[in-house]
Amino acid sequence: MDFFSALSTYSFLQNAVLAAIFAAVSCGISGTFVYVNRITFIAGGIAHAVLGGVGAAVYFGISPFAGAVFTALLFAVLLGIIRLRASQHEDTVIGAMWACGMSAGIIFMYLTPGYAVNLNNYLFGNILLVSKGDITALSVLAALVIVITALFFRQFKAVSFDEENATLHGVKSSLVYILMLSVIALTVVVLMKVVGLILVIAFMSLPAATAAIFQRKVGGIIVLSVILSFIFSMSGLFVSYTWNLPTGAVITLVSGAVYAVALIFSKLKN
Amino acid sequence: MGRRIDNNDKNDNNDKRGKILDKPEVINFDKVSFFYGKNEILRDVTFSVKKEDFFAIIGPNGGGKTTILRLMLGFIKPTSGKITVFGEEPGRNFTKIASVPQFSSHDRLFPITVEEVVLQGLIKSTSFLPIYTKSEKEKAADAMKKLGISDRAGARFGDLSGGLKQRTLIARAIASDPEILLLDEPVASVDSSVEKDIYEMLLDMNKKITIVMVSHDIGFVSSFVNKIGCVNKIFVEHNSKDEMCCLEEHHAYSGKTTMIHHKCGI
Repeated sequence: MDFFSALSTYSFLQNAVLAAIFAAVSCGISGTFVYVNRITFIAGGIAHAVLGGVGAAVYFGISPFAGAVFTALLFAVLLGIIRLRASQHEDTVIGAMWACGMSAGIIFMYLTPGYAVNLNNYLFGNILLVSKGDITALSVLAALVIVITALFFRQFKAVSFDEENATLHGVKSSLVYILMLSVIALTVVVLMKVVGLILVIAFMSLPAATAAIFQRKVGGIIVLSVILSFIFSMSGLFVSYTWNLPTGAVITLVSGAVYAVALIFSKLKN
Repeated sequence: MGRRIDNNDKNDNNDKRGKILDKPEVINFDKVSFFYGKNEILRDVTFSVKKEDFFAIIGPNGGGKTTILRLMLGFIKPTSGKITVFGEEPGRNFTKIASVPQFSSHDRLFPITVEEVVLQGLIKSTSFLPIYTKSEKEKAADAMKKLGISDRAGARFGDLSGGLKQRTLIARAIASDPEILLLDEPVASVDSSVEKDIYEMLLDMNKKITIVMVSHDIGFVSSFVNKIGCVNKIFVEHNSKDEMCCLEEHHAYSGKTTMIHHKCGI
Protein backbone atom coordinates (compact mmCIF):
# COMPACT_ATOMS: atom_id res chain seq x y z
CA MET A 1 0.00 0.00 0.00
CA ASP A 2 1.48 3.36 -0.93
CA PHE A 3 1.92 6.21 1.54
CA PHE A 4 -1.14 8.21 0.60
CA SER A 5 -3.68 5.39 0.64
CA ALA A 6 -2.11 4.20 3.90
CA LEU A 7 -2.61 7.69 5.27
CA SER A 8 -6.35 7.51 4.74
CA THR A 9 -6.51 4.01 6.23
CA TYR A 10 -4.24 3.91 9.28
CA SER A 11 -4.87 6.06 12.30
CA PHE A 12 -1.23 5.78 13.40
CA LEU A 13 -0.23 7.62 10.21
CA GLN A 14 -2.89 10.24 10.78
CA ASN A 15 -1.55 10.71 14.29
CA ALA A 16 1.92 11.04 12.82
CA VAL A 17 0.75 13.81 10.49
CA LEU A 18 -0.89 15.65 13.38
CA ALA A 19 2.31 15.30 15.41
CA ALA A 20 4.26 16.66 12.45
CA ILE A 21 1.97 19.70 12.31
CA PHE A 22 2.41 20.44 16.03
CA ALA A 23 6.15 19.88 15.72
CA ALA A 24 6.38 22.17 12.69
CA VAL A 25 4.54 25.02 14.38
CA SER A 26 6.50 24.86 17.66
CA CYS A 27 9.77 24.25 15.89
CA GLY A 28 9.29 27.09 13.41
CA ILE A 29 8.61 29.52 16.25
CA SER A 30 11.26 28.37 18.74
CA GLY A 31 13.85 27.58 16.08
CA THR A 32 13.68 31.17 14.87
CA PHE A 33 14.50 32.51 18.34
CA VAL A 34 17.26 29.93 18.71
CA TYR A 35 18.64 31.12 15.38
CA VAL A 36 18.50 34.88 16.01
CA ASN A 37 19.92 34.53 19.53
CA ARG A 38 22.57 32.06 18.38
CA ILE A 39 21.79 29.77 21.30
CA THR A 40 21.89 26.37 19.60
CA PHE A 41 24.16 25.25 22.42
CA ILE A 42 21.61 26.20 25.09
CA ALA A 43 18.79 24.50 23.14
CA GLY A 44 20.99 21.42 22.77
CA GLY A 45 21.73 21.49 26.49
CA ILE A 46 18.03 21.52 27.34
CA ALA A 47 17.30 18.74 24.84
CA HIS A 48 19.94 16.37 26.13
CA ALA A 49 19.33 17.11 29.78
CA VAL A 50 15.65 16.16 29.26
CA LEU A 51 16.74 12.53 28.99
CA GLY A 52 17.58 12.64 32.69
CA GLY A 53 14.01 13.64 33.52
CA VAL A 54 12.57 11.05 31.20
CA GLY A 55 14.81 8.33 32.68
CA ALA A 56 13.84 9.26 36.23
CA ALA A 57 10.15 9.29 35.29
CA VAL A 58 10.41 5.86 33.65
CA TYR A 59 12.30 4.46 36.67
CA PHE A 60 9.79 5.78 39.18
CA GLY A 61 6.85 4.78 37.01
CA ILE A 62 5.46 8.24 36.33
CA SER A 63 4.60 9.58 32.89
CA PRO A 64 7.83 10.13 30.89
CA PHE A 65 6.06 12.99 29.19
CA ALA A 66 5.52 14.80 32.50
CA GLY A 67 9.14 14.08 33.41
CA ALA A 68 10.27 15.59 30.11
CA VAL A 69 8.18 18.76 30.50
CA PHE A 70 9.36 19.26 34.08
CA THR A 71 13.07 18.74 33.30
CA ALA A 72 12.94 20.85 30.15
CA LEU A 73 11.44 23.80 32.03
CA LEU A 74 13.81 23.32 34.96
CA PHE A 75 16.84 23.42 32.68
CA ALA A 76 15.46 26.38 30.72
CA VAL A 77 15.28 28.39 33.94
CA LEU A 78 18.69 27.18 35.18
CA LEU A 79 20.43 27.86 31.86
CA GLY A 80 18.70 31.25 31.64
CA ILE A 81 20.06 32.20 35.04
CA ILE A 82 23.54 30.91 34.17
CA ARG A 83 23.62 32.87 30.96
CA LEU A 84 22.39 36.07 32.62
CA ARG A 85 25.18 35.82 35.16
CA ALA A 86 27.55 35.12 32.31
CA SER A 87 31.02 34.27 33.39
CA GLN A 88 33.77 32.79 31.27
CA HIS A 89 32.72 29.33 32.42
CA GLU A 90 29.21 29.56 30.97
CA ASP A 91 30.00 27.11 28.18
CA THR A 92 31.53 24.59 30.55
CA VAL A 93 28.54 24.72 32.88
CA ILE A 94 26.07 24.24 30.04
CA GLY A 95 28.18 21.41 28.63
CA ALA A 96 28.31 19.74 32.04
CA MET A 97 24.52 19.96 32.50
CA TRP A 98 24.08 18.63 28.98
CA ALA A 99 26.25 15.57 29.56
CA CYS A 100 25.25 14.89 33.16
CA GLY A 101 21.53 15.14 32.43
CA MET A 102 21.94 12.67 29.63
CA SER A 103 24.07 10.31 31.73
CA ALA A 104 21.48 10.32 34.51
CA GLY A 105 18.86 9.37 31.94
CA ILE A 106 20.95 6.50 30.62
CA ILE A 107 21.58 5.13 34.13
CA PHE A 108 17.91 5.39 35.14
CA MET A 109 16.84 3.60 32.00
CA TYR A 110 19.51 0.94 32.48
CA LEU A 111 18.10 0.26 35.93
CA THR A 112 14.59 -0.07 34.50
CA PRO A 113 13.65 -3.38 32.84
CA GLY A 114 13.19 -3.05 29.09
CA TYR A 115 15.36 0.06 28.99
CA ALA A 116 16.82 -0.45 25.52
CA VAL A 117 13.54 0.08 23.64
CA ASN A 118 12.68 3.14 25.70
CA LEU A 119 16.07 4.72 25.32
CA ASN A 120 16.03 4.42 21.55
CA ASN A 121 12.56 5.91 21.26
CA TYR A 122 13.51 8.98 23.27
CA LEU A 123 16.89 9.44 21.65
CA PHE A 124 15.73 9.00 18.07
CA GLY A 125 11.99 9.55 18.33
CA ASN A 126 9.36 7.50 16.61
CA ILE A 127 6.63 9.55 15.05
CA LEU A 128 4.86 6.37 14.00
CA LEU A 129 4.30 5.42 17.65
CA VAL A 130 2.50 8.64 18.57
CA SER A 131 -0.74 7.72 20.37
CA LYS A 132 -4.07 9.55 20.71
CA GLY A 133 -3.07 10.62 24.21
CA ASP A 134 0.25 11.94 22.93
CA ILE A 135 -1.59 14.00 20.33
CA THR A 136 -3.64 15.73 23.02
CA ALA A 137 -0.50 16.51 25.02
CA LEU A 138 1.41 17.72 21.96
CA SER A 139 -1.48 19.97 20.95
CA VAL A 140 -1.51 21.57 24.40
CA LEU A 141 2.25 22.21 24.27
CA ALA A 142 2.07 23.61 20.73
CA ALA A 143 -0.81 25.87 21.77
CA LEU A 144 1.26 27.16 24.72
CA VAL A 145 4.19 27.87 22.41
CA ILE A 146 1.92 29.83 20.05
CA VAL A 147 0.06 31.80 22.72
CA ILE A 148 3.14 32.76 24.77
CA THR A 149 5.10 33.77 21.69
CA ALA A 150 2.21 35.78 20.25
CA LEU A 151 1.77 37.64 23.54
CA PHE A 152 5.46 38.33 24.05
CA PHE A 153 6.50 38.57 20.41
CA ARG A 154 7.71 42.19 20.57
CA GLN A 155 9.46 41.63 23.88
CA PHE A 156 11.15 38.43 22.66
CA LYS A 157 12.37 40.32 19.59
CA ALA A 158 13.54 43.33 21.58
CA VAL A 159 15.42 41.21 24.12
CA SER A 160 16.98 39.13 21.34
CA PHE A 161 18.22 42.14 19.38
CA ASP A 162 19.25 44.50 22.16
CA GLU A 163 18.60 43.38 25.70
CA GLU A 164 19.89 46.61 27.27
CA ASN A 165 17.60 48.77 25.18
CA ALA A 166 14.65 46.63 26.23
CA THR A 167 15.65 46.87 29.89
CA LEU A 168 16.03 50.62 29.58
CA HIS A 169 12.43 50.87 28.40
CA GLY A 170 11.14 48.92 31.37
CA VAL A 171 10.96 45.44 29.85
CA LYS A 172 11.82 42.76 32.42
CA SER A 173 14.52 41.39 30.14
CA SER A 174 15.75 38.58 32.39
CA LEU A 175 12.26 37.18 32.89
CA VAL A 176 11.41 37.58 29.21
CA TYR A 177 14.62 35.74 28.30
CA ILE A 178 13.81 32.87 30.66
CA LEU A 179 10.27 32.75 29.27
CA MET A 180 11.74 32.52 25.77
CA LEU A 181 13.96 29.61 26.86
CA SER A 182 10.88 27.96 28.39
CA VAL A 183 9.08 28.15 25.05
CA ILE A 184 12.15 26.51 23.50
CA ALA A 185 12.04 23.87 26.26
CA LEU A 186 8.39 23.02 25.52
CA THR A 187 9.32 22.65 21.86
CA VAL A 188 12.11 20.24 22.78
CA VAL A 189 9.48 17.98 24.38
CA VAL A 190 7.26 18.13 21.28
CA LEU A 191 10.22 17.32 19.05
CA MET A 192 11.32 14.46 21.30
CA LYS A 193 8.35 12.47 19.97
CA VAL A 194 9.01 13.36 16.37
CA VAL A 195 12.77 13.35 15.77
CA GLY A 196 14.13 12.34 19.16
CA LEU A 197 16.34 14.24 21.59
CA ILE A 198 19.61 13.71 19.71
CA LEU A 199 18.27 15.32 16.55
CA VAL A 200 16.39 18.18 18.22
CA ILE A 201 19.24 20.63 17.60
CA ALA A 202 19.30 19.92 13.88
CA PHE A 203 15.55 20.15 13.52
CA MET A 204 15.38 23.35 15.54
CA SER A 205 18.15 25.14 13.69
CA LEU A 206 17.94 24.01 10.05
CA PRO A 207 14.44 25.23 9.05
CA ALA A 208 15.01 28.65 10.66
CA ALA A 209 18.47 28.97 9.13
CA THR A 210 17.01 28.08 5.71
CA ALA A 211 14.14 30.54 6.14
CA ALA A 212 16.54 33.30 7.22
CA ILE A 213 18.19 33.14 3.81
CA PHE A 214 14.97 34.38 2.24
CA GLN A 215 13.37 36.58 4.92
CA ARG A 216 14.54 39.81 6.52
CA LYS A 217 12.17 39.93 9.49
CA VAL A 218 11.74 37.64 12.50
CA GLY A 219 8.02 37.23 11.74
CA GLY A 220 8.75 36.22 8.15
CA ILE A 221 11.35 33.69 9.26
CA ILE A 222 8.84 32.12 11.67
CA VAL A 223 6.15 31.74 9.00
CA LEU A 224 8.54 30.31 6.42
CA SER A 225 10.23 27.96 8.86
CA VAL A 226 6.88 26.59 10.07
CA ILE A 227 6.09 25.78 6.42
CA LEU A 228 9.55 24.30 5.84
CA SER A 229 9.43 22.24 9.05
CA PHE A 230 6.10 20.78 7.98
CA ILE A 231 7.39 19.92 4.51
CA PHE A 232 10.56 18.40 6.00
CA SER A 233 8.66 16.24 8.48
CA MET A 234 6.11 15.11 5.88
CA SER A 235 8.79 14.17 3.41
CA GLY A 236 10.65 12.38 6.20
CA LEU A 237 7.48 10.50 7.06
CA PHE A 238 6.92 9.61 3.41
CA VAL A 239 10.48 8.38 2.86
CA SER A 240 10.64 6.39 6.06
CA TYR A 241 7.25 4.79 5.44
CA THR A 242 8.08 3.89 1.86
CA TRP A 243 11.60 2.53 2.48
CA ASN A 244 11.23 1.60 6.15
CA LEU A 245 13.96 3.92 7.45
CA PRO A 246 14.19 5.70 10.87
CA THR A 247 11.98 8.79 10.58
CA GLY A 248 13.97 11.24 12.71
CA ALA A 249 17.18 10.62 10.81
CA VAL A 250 15.43 10.95 7.45
CA ILE A 251 13.78 14.24 8.49
CA THR A 252 17.12 15.61 9.63
CA LEU A 253 18.89 14.65 6.39
CA VAL A 254 16.10 16.17 4.29
CA SER A 255 16.37 19.43 6.29
CA GLY A 256 20.14 19.44 5.96
CA ALA A 257 20.00 18.83 2.21
CA VAL A 258 17.47 21.64 1.63
CA TYR A 259 19.53 24.01 3.80
CA ALA A 260 22.67 23.22 1.80
CA VAL A 261 20.87 23.76 -1.52
CA ALA A 262 19.34 27.06 -0.30
CA LEU A 263 22.73 28.25 0.93
CA ILE A 264 24.46 27.41 -2.37
CA PHE A 265 21.57 28.98 -4.29
CA SER A 266 21.82 32.24 -2.34
CA LYS A 267 25.61 32.38 -2.68
CA LEU A 268 25.36 31.87 -6.44
CA LYS A 269 22.69 34.54 -6.68
CA ASN A 270 24.99 37.08 -5.06
CA MET B 1 28.70 73.68 10.06
CA GLY B 2 31.88 75.74 9.93
CA ARG B 3 29.92 78.50 11.61
CA ARG B 4 30.14 76.70 14.92
CA ILE B 5 33.84 77.20 15.04
CA ASP B 6 34.03 80.94 14.34
CA ASN B 7 34.12 83.53 17.06
CA ASN B 8 30.51 84.70 16.91
CA ASP B 9 29.40 81.30 17.76
CA LYS B 10 31.78 81.00 20.63
CA ASN B 11 29.85 83.96 22.00
CA ASP B 12 26.60 82.12 21.42
CA ASN B 13 27.97 79.26 23.38
CA ASN B 14 28.92 81.60 26.18
CA ASP B 15 25.43 83.09 26.19
CA LYS B 16 23.99 79.64 26.34
CA ARG B 17 26.16 78.76 29.28
CA GLY B 18 24.93 81.82 31.04
CA LYS B 19 21.35 80.66 30.63
CA ILE B 20 22.11 77.14 31.64
CA LEU B 21 23.18 78.25 35.08
CA ASP B 22 19.51 78.66 35.98
CA LYS B 23 18.40 75.34 34.59
CA PRO B 24 17.44 72.48 36.89
CA GLU B 25 19.78 69.59 37.54
CA VAL B 26 18.80 66.37 35.76
CA ILE B 27 21.68 64.03 36.60
CA ASN B 28 23.79 64.18 39.71
CA PHE B 29 26.86 62.15 40.69
CA ASP B 30 27.97 62.55 44.28
CA LYS B 31 31.33 61.02 45.19
CA VAL B 32 30.66 57.98 43.04
CA SER B 33 33.20 55.16 43.04
CA PHE B 34 32.96 51.97 41.08
CA PHE B 35 34.95 48.77 41.35
CA TYR B 36 34.81 46.00 38.81
CA GLY B 37 35.87 43.08 40.97
CA LYS B 38 39.01 44.37 42.63
CA ASN B 39 39.76 46.92 39.91
CA GLU B 40 38.98 50.49 40.74
CA ILE B 41 37.35 52.02 37.67
CA LEU B 42 36.06 55.30 39.08
CA ARG B 43 37.11 57.20 42.19
CA ASP B 44 35.00 59.90 43.88
CA VAL B 45 33.37 61.18 40.71
CA THR B 46 31.23 64.23 41.37
CA PHE B 47 29.41 66.29 38.75
CA SER B 48 25.99 67.33 37.68
CA VAL B 49 24.27 67.67 34.34
CA LYS B 50 21.70 70.40 33.95
CA LYS B 51 18.71 70.53 31.67
CA GLU B 52 19.70 71.14 28.05
CA ASP B 53 23.40 70.73 28.70
CA PHE B 54 25.51 69.26 25.93
CA PHE B 55 27.96 67.39 28.07
CA ALA B 56 30.95 65.50 26.69
CA ILE B 57 32.89 62.97 28.72
CA ILE B 58 36.35 62.51 27.29
CA GLY B 59 38.99 60.04 28.30
CA PRO B 60 41.19 57.18 27.19
CA ASN B 61 39.93 53.67 26.55
CA GLY B 62 39.48 51.91 29.85
CA GLY B 63 39.30 55.26 31.65
CA GLY B 64 35.72 54.70 32.86
CA LYS B 65 33.68 56.71 30.33
CA THR B 66 31.29 53.95 29.39
CA THR B 67 31.05 52.96 33.06
CA ILE B 68 29.69 56.44 33.79
CA LEU B 69 27.01 55.98 31.09
CA ARG B 70 26.09 52.55 32.41
CA LEU B 71 25.78 53.95 35.92
CA MET B 72 23.46 56.70 34.62
CA LEU B 73 21.32 54.04 32.94
CA GLY B 74 21.17 51.95 36.10
CA PHE B 75 22.71 48.87 34.42
CA ILE B 76 25.32 48.82 37.17
CA LYS B 77 25.25 50.18 40.71
CA PRO B 78 27.98 52.35 42.21
CA THR B 79 30.25 50.73 44.80
CA SER B 80 29.91 53.87 46.87
CA GLY B 81 28.44 57.33 46.43
CA LYS B 82 25.03 58.39 45.15
CA ILE B 83 23.61 58.90 41.69
CA THR B 84 20.29 60.53 40.93
CA VAL B 85 18.51 60.96 37.61
CA PHE B 86 15.59 63.36 37.87
CA GLY B 87 15.95 63.02 41.63
CA GLU B 88 15.46 59.25 41.47
CA GLU B 89 17.70 56.22 41.46
CA PRO B 90 18.88 55.42 37.88
CA GLY B 91 17.00 52.73 35.95
CA ARG B 92 13.55 53.94 36.97
CA ASN B 93 12.94 56.62 34.38
CA PHE B 94 11.91 54.40 31.51
CA THR B 95 10.56 57.19 29.34
CA LYS B 96 12.79 60.13 30.21
CA ILE B 97 16.20 58.73 29.36
CA ALA B 98 17.33 57.14 26.10
CA SER B 99 20.62 55.66 25.08
CA VAL B 100 22.52 55.23 21.84
CA PRO B 101 24.93 52.31 22.21
CA GLN B 102 27.84 51.60 19.90
CA PHE B 103 26.30 50.02 16.83
CA SER B 104 29.13 47.52 16.59
CA SER B 105 27.59 45.78 19.59
CA HIS B 106 24.71 44.45 17.48
CA ASP B 107 24.65 41.21 15.53
CA ARG B 108 25.19 42.18 11.88
CA LEU B 109 23.11 39.24 10.68
CA PHE B 110 20.10 39.87 12.92
CA PRO B 111 16.97 39.85 10.76
CA ILE B 112 15.51 43.26 11.52
CA THR B 113 14.58 46.28 9.41
CA VAL B 114 15.45 49.90 10.15
CA GLU B 115 11.82 50.66 10.99
CA GLU B 116 11.67 47.75 13.44
CA VAL B 117 14.84 48.93 15.18
CA VAL B 118 13.34 52.41 15.58
CA LEU B 119 10.06 50.91 16.85
CA GLN B 120 12.05 49.13 19.57
CA GLY B 121 12.65 52.56 21.04
CA LEU B 122 8.96 52.57 21.96
CA ILE B 123 8.75 49.16 23.59
CA LYS B 124 7.26 48.92 27.08
CA SER B 125 6.81 46.14 29.60
CA THR B 126 3.17 46.11 28.48
CA SER B 127 3.88 45.71 24.75
CA PHE B 128 1.99 42.51 24.01
CA LEU B 129 1.04 40.80 20.73
CA PRO B 130 2.90 41.30 17.44
CA ILE B 131 1.22 44.62 16.68
CA TYR B 132 2.27 48.27 16.70
CA THR B 133 -0.24 50.99 17.46
CA LYS B 134 -0.87 53.80 15.00
CA SER B 135 0.79 56.32 17.30
CA GLU B 136 3.87 54.08 17.63
CA LYS B 137 4.12 53.85 13.84
CA GLU B 138 3.79 57.63 13.58
CA LYS B 139 6.42 58.32 16.23
CA ALA B 140 8.84 55.95 14.51
CA ALA B 141 8.15 57.57 11.13
CA ASP B 142 8.73 60.97 12.70
CA ALA B 143 12.04 59.95 14.24
CA MET B 144 13.22 58.40 10.96
CA LYS B 145 12.28 61.61 9.14
CA LYS B 146 14.29 63.71 11.60
CA LEU B 147 17.35 61.56 11.01
CA GLY B 148 16.83 61.49 7.23
CA ILE B 149 16.46 57.72 7.00
CA SER B 150 12.79 57.43 5.98
CA ASP B 151 13.73 55.95 2.61
CA ARG B 152 15.65 53.17 4.38
CA ALA B 153 12.74 52.08 6.59
CA GLY B 154 12.52 48.64 4.98
CA ALA B 155 16.25 48.03 4.67
CA ARG B 156 17.96 45.40 6.78
CA PHE B 157 19.76 47.09 9.67
CA GLY B 158 22.87 44.92 9.33
CA ASP B 159 23.31 45.92 5.67
CA LEU B 160 23.60 49.65 6.41
CA SER B 161 26.79 51.71 6.47
CA GLY B 162 28.17 52.81 9.85
CA GLY B 163 26.73 56.31 9.51
CA LEU B 164 23.25 55.07 8.69
CA LYS B 165 23.35 52.54 11.53
CA GLN B 166 24.26 55.34 13.89
CA ARG B 167 21.36 57.44 12.59
CA THR B 168 19.01 54.51 13.04
CA LEU B 169 20.08 54.08 16.66
CA ILE B 170 19.71 57.80 17.32
CA ALA B 171 16.23 57.65 15.73
CA ARG B 172 15.38 54.74 18.02
CA ALA B 173 16.55 56.73 21.02
CA ILE B 174 14.57 59.88 20.21
CA ALA B 175 11.42 58.03 19.10
CA SER B 176 10.20 57.91 22.69
CA ASP B 177 10.69 61.67 23.04
CA PRO B 178 13.21 61.45 25.90
CA GLU B 179 14.48 64.34 27.99
CA ILE B 180 18.04 63.02 28.17
CA LEU B 181 19.98 61.37 25.38
CA LEU B 182 23.13 59.38 26.22
CA LEU B 183 25.54 58.52 23.42
CA ASP B 184 28.48 56.14 23.57
CA GLU B 185 31.14 57.16 21.02
CA PRO B 186 28.57 58.29 18.43
CA VAL B 187 31.19 59.03 15.78
CA ALA B 188 33.53 56.12 16.30
CA SER B 189 33.87 54.22 13.01
CA VAL B 190 32.15 56.80 10.80
CA ASP B 191 34.03 59.05 8.40
CA SER B 192 34.54 62.73 9.11
CA SER B 193 31.75 64.10 6.89
CA VAL B 194 29.26 61.81 8.62
CA GLU B 195 30.77 62.88 11.92
CA LYS B 196 29.95 66.52 11.10
CA ASP B 197 26.39 65.63 10.09
CA ILE B 198 25.80 63.69 13.27
CA TYR B 199 27.14 66.49 15.48
CA GLU B 200 25.01 69.05 13.64
CA MET B 201 21.93 66.92 14.20
CA LEU B 202 22.74 66.47 17.87
CA LEU B 203 23.25 70.20 18.25
CA ASP B 204 19.82 70.78 16.76
CA MET B 205 18.24 68.24 19.11
CA ASN B 206 20.04 69.86 22.01
CA LYS B 207 17.56 72.76 21.82
CA LYS B 208 15.11 70.47 23.59
CA ILE B 209 17.08 67.48 24.85
CA THR B 210 19.89 67.21 27.36
CA ILE B 211 22.77 65.34 25.76
CA VAL B 212 25.54 63.40 27.48
CA MET B 213 28.13 61.99 25.14
CA VAL B 214 31.19 59.85 25.63
CA SER B 215 34.16 60.12 23.32
CA HIS B 216 37.81 59.17 23.32
CA ASP B 217 38.53 61.93 20.83
CA ILE B 218 38.19 65.59 21.62
CA GLY B 219 38.11 66.49 17.88
CA PHE B 220 35.00 68.41 16.92
CA VAL B 221 33.43 67.90 20.28
CA SER B 222 34.81 71.00 21.94
CA SER B 223 33.08 73.36 19.52
CA PHE B 224 29.65 71.89 20.15
CA VAL B 225 29.43 71.12 23.79
CA ASN B 226 28.99 73.46 26.71
CA LYS B 227 30.64 71.23 29.30
CA ILE B 228 33.49 68.78 29.14
CA GLY B 229 34.47 66.26 31.74
CA CYS B 230 37.74 64.37 31.54
CA VAL B 231 37.77 60.96 33.12
CA ASN B 232 40.55 58.54 33.79
CA LYS B 233 39.49 56.92 37.04
CA ILE B 234 39.17 60.42 38.52
CA PHE B 235 36.94 63.04 36.99
CA VAL B 236 37.70 66.69 36.19
CA GLU B 237 35.14 69.06 34.76
CA HIS B 238 35.84 72.00 32.42
CA ASN B 239 34.06 74.67 30.52
CA SER B 240 34.54 74.16 26.81
CA LYS B 241 36.53 77.37 26.47
CA ASP B 242 39.27 75.54 28.31
CA GLU B 243 39.44 72.93 25.64
CA MET B 244 43.16 73.34 25.34
CA CYS B 245 43.90 72.16 28.81
CA CYS B 246 41.72 69.16 28.20
CA LEU B 247 43.83 68.51 25.14
CA GLU B 248 46.94 68.62 27.20
CA GLU B 249 45.45 66.16 29.58
CA HIS B 250 44.47 64.10 26.66
CA HIS B 251 48.12 63.76 25.77
CA ALA B 252 48.94 62.97 29.33
CA TYR B 253 46.62 59.95 29.05
CA SER B 254 48.99 58.25 26.68
CA GLY B 255 51.51 58.03 29.49
CA LYS B 256 51.27 55.17 31.94
CA THR B 257 50.29 57.39 34.87
CA THR B 258 46.69 57.18 36.06
CA MET B 259 46.72 60.58 37.72
CA ILE B 260 45.65 63.48 35.57
CA HIS B 261 48.07 66.39 35.56
CA HIS B 262 45.63 69.20 35.91
CA LYS B 263 46.89 72.29 34.18
CA CYS B 264 43.84 74.52 34.08
CA GLY B 265 44.01 75.73 37.61
CA ILE B 266 40.21 75.69 37.99
